[in-house]
Formats: sequence, C-alpha cells, structure tokens
Amino acid sequence: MTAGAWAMLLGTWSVVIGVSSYLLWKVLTRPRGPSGE
Amino acid sequence: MAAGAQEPTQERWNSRLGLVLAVAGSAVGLGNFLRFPAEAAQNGGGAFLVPYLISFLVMGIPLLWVEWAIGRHGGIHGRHSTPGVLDALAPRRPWLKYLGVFGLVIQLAVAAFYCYIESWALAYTWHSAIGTFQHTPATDFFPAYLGIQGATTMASPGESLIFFAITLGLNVWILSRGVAGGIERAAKIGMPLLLFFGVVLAVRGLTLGVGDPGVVASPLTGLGFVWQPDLSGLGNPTTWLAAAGQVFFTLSVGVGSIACYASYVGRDEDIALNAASAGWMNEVVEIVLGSAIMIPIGVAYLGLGAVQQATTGGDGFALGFLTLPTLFANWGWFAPLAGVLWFGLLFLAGITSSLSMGQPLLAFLEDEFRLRRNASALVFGGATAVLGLVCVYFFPGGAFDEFNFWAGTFCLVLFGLVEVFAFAWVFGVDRGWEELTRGADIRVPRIFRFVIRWITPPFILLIFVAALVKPEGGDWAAAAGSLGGGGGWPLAGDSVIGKVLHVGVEGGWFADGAATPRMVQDVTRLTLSGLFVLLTVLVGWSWQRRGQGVGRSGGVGKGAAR
Repeated sequence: MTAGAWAMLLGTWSVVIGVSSYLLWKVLTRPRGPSGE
Repeated sequence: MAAGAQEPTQERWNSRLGLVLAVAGSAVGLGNFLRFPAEAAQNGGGAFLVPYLISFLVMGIPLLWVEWAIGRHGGIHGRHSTPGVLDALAPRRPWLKYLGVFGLVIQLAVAAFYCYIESWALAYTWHSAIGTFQHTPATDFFPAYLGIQGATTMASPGESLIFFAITLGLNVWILSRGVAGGIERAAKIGMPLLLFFGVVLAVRGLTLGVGDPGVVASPLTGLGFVWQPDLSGLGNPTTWLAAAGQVFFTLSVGVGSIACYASYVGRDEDIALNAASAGWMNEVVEIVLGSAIMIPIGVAYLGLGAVQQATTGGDGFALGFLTLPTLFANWGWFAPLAGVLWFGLLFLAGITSSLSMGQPLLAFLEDEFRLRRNASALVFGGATAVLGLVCVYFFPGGAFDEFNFWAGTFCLVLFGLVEVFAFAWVFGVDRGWEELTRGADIRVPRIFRFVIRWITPPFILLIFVAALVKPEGGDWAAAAGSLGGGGGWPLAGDSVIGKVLHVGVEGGWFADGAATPRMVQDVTRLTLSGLFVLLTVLVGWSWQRRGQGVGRSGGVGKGAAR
C-alpha cells in the first residue's frame, strides 16, 4: 500500500468511525425523548 | 389527544438504541459486503470513494432526514404505510397516496427476492458448518442447490425451497412479535453479532501472510487498491453514477421502510440525531468492514486481476458466494467457522433488511384494513411466498433479476424522488424543516434546508434519467459523440429503456417450441405491473372505506383524521 492509500484509508476510517461513535454516544446518553420519558 | 390525531397506535419502540439499531439494520444489507467492494473495485478503487462520500453528504443524509420526518409526521396522524404517510403530508392532494403504492410494490417485491438471497446465506452457513465446502467447490454446489443445471427458464429446486421456507417463516414469526418485541429485539441481537463476525473476518483476512498456504499476494494489496487516492473519478460520470447509486441502495432510502420505522416515534421525540446515527453506523459497516473482508481475502489468494474480473459489473455475488467458500478451505480448522461467520454475517445483514420491508406492509394491513398483527404477518408471508416462488422457479429465465431491477433499483430511485419532492415541494420546506428539527438532539446545519430543496431532488433526478438512457458500456463520451455524429444513442441493454425494448436480446417468447428467457422476463414484468394495479385498487378501496368510517371503532373518518 502506498502512503497515499494509507492516508486516505486512515483519514476516512477515522472520520467515519469518529462521527459514528460521537453520534451513538449522544444517542446513548440522551433520554428516550426530550421529555425524558 | 391532539385534534389532528387519529386513533393512537399502541406500537412504540422500546428504546432509542433499539430504534437506531433497527434502522441501521434495515440499511446494512448484503450490498454492504458484496456490492460496495465490487463497485469500488470496478470504478477505480479510491477514485470511487470521493464521489461516494460527496453523494452521501448531499443525497444520502438529506434523504434519510426526509424519510424520518415524513414517517414521524405520518405516525402522528396514525399512518404508518407509505401511502398513508404521503397522504398525511397533503390531505388535499389525494393523488399523493397513489404514489405511495410504489413503496408497497418495492417492499413486497424486494421482500420476495431478498428472502430468497437471505435463504442462500442461511443454507451456506449450514453447509459451511457441516463442512460441505471442504470437498465440494461452491461453483458446483450453487447450481445444484438452486436446481438450475442445464435449465434455461425453469429451475427444479429442492433444498433451496426448504431454506426459503425456513427464512420466510422466521421473518413472519419475528414480524408477528411486533415492532418492539420482534424487529427491535432482532436488531439488538443481530447487529452486534454482525459487527463481531465482520471484525473477526477482517482481522483474519488482513493478517494473512504471503508465506501462508495458497497466498499469492498481500491482502494489503487489495486494501490498497480500494483506498488508492485518485481524483480522476470526479470527472467521470460513470463513477459518479455508480457511487451515487451505491449510496442510495446502501442506506435503504426510497423504500419507505425508514418512514415506517419513524412513524412509531413520538411527536416531540428526536429524529435528526437518530437518523444521522443510523446512517453513519451503516457507513462504518460499509466503508470499514465492507472494504476489509472480501477484496483483501480475494486478492491474497487470487491476485488483483482475478478479483477485478470476478467483480465485473459491480456485482460481488460471484466472489462472495462462489469463490470465498473455496478460499476459506485454506484456513484449516478455522475454515468451517470462517464460512459460518461470513455467511452468518450475510444472513444477519439480510434479515434485518427484509424485516424492514415487511413492517410497512403489515402497517398497511393494520392501518387500512384493521387486521390483527398475526393475521397481517400471515398475509405478508403468503404474498411474499407467492412472489418468492416466481423467483425460485424462474430463476434461470431471469425472473429474479427482473425483480431486482424493477423493484429493487428502478422503483427505488423513482420513489426516493417522490419522497423528496413531496417533502420539499408539496408539504413545503418550511413545514418540513420544522418537522425535522422538532425535538432534535443535534443542531441540523441550516445549509441542509437548501440542500433538501435544491440539491437532492435534481441529484436524484439525474440518477434517474441516467438510468433511463445509460449508454452501452457506460461510455457517455462515446455515446454523445455517436449522437452528435448522427449515429444515434447506443442504449445499454441494462438501461431502463434498453430493458423495456429488450436491447441486445434476439428472438421472441418461444424457440423450438420451448419458452425463452424473454418470455419469463416479460411475464415477470406483467406480474409486477399487475401487483402495482392490485395495490393501487386496494389503496383506493381502503381510503374509500376510511372516508365512510367503515371498520373503525368510534367511526373515525377522513375528516376527523385531519
């Protein structure tokens, strides 16, 4: 694998996993609805 | 109850995580593991990913938000099926509900052929576990399993019928357990298992060494091919269309399933964060696991050229079902387990998707005909079995491919266009934006208000038109040159118009006294058209009953519903 391929892979995977983890964390740490029900 | 509400539905999701997993499960399908890497391999590897990611942001995410918003709005009005949620958007435009029939057709027809593929994955899981592929090449096993050896139009299925019945039965049983007790529970079990299976396979595949038995190249060569940056794809319309099409299909947008799932969310509960979370979860599975299993393992044992050849046409089926089982045989004691993990993963990816096809149909029967859940599940099972058997028996004649093309590809794009048009232009972008952002747990960037109205619809329209007139070999420049030179537009056989006109297909319905594949294809199209007409009539009839308050406790009629 070239350095460019590594950079693209690690960059894209980091963004996708990072954004997904952040959103999932928000889902898990928020109550079911705004009213907390 | 609010004045605009109808009879409240008793169904609700048990937990927010369960809902997100169910929607992600709907999106994660066999395409994440078979179609995505094949499309990437066929469209220049890294050159494919830039248009793919741009398409995800300007079309995928906006469409997800649109479907969630349409669905929750419909749910507030007691509607969960695609005609119902579209009708709830604009009660004074009665024609809109008939466009929702496209959703019903997609859900039923896709459920039929998808349950069949799902049953293959189940059968392969079983046969991997009992070691069938240790002594029988998958290339010999597959035609025997389907009963298609030497057949031109009709199969003689045996074992495949049994697995199809088991798979369909399992779908019906889970659906009969309800939204929370069935679909949500299945997603909570299936999605973590799928991720675990995928990670184990990816780690095993990527750690193959060149000195290992049978390995001819480093698996990193395959990974490197997919990820080699190449901006030339940005100027290639074929790559753009392939990338945009993949984003469309991977997210399960344009089906109506997400709208149905969202219709069981409360009026002021978040949808913006849930939608984004489910969408990005699908991307993790597709971009990370999808690129790290099939292509690297294939390249390690077969070399890059063979893998590119095996994925011709952007279809990873041959590599996934016919080649990988044989390659796993190199893994010694781990071979049966690897087969179970790979095909188990495909089965889990499949069933979480097929359940999302079934639920909107059950909702249609429950909402409009007041059938009980078990009865609705049985009706769904019966209808899916009938259509599925068309795919099973007429597989060699191309019935399966017809279902896939017309319901699983053409109608999907068409209905996606309908949804975004209905949301942004009929319901109105102002009301739509309020619907999307009400109760949101994230701030939706305001730019998406513009994107949903002005970028996403023409983007999908472009994909739709391109599918209609796709040129031979996907070479748009040559086709334009041919047209300019008076040579006409060279339609591809797999373009929509090319399919209708049977471009490249010789002969009629019969040859030497026997039916031809062309006859099977035409009869399949007539069957799907008949299904559309039948469902249109059912929608019209059920709305008429609704207007008269027939079969509704309390006599809630159309006027009261709004």
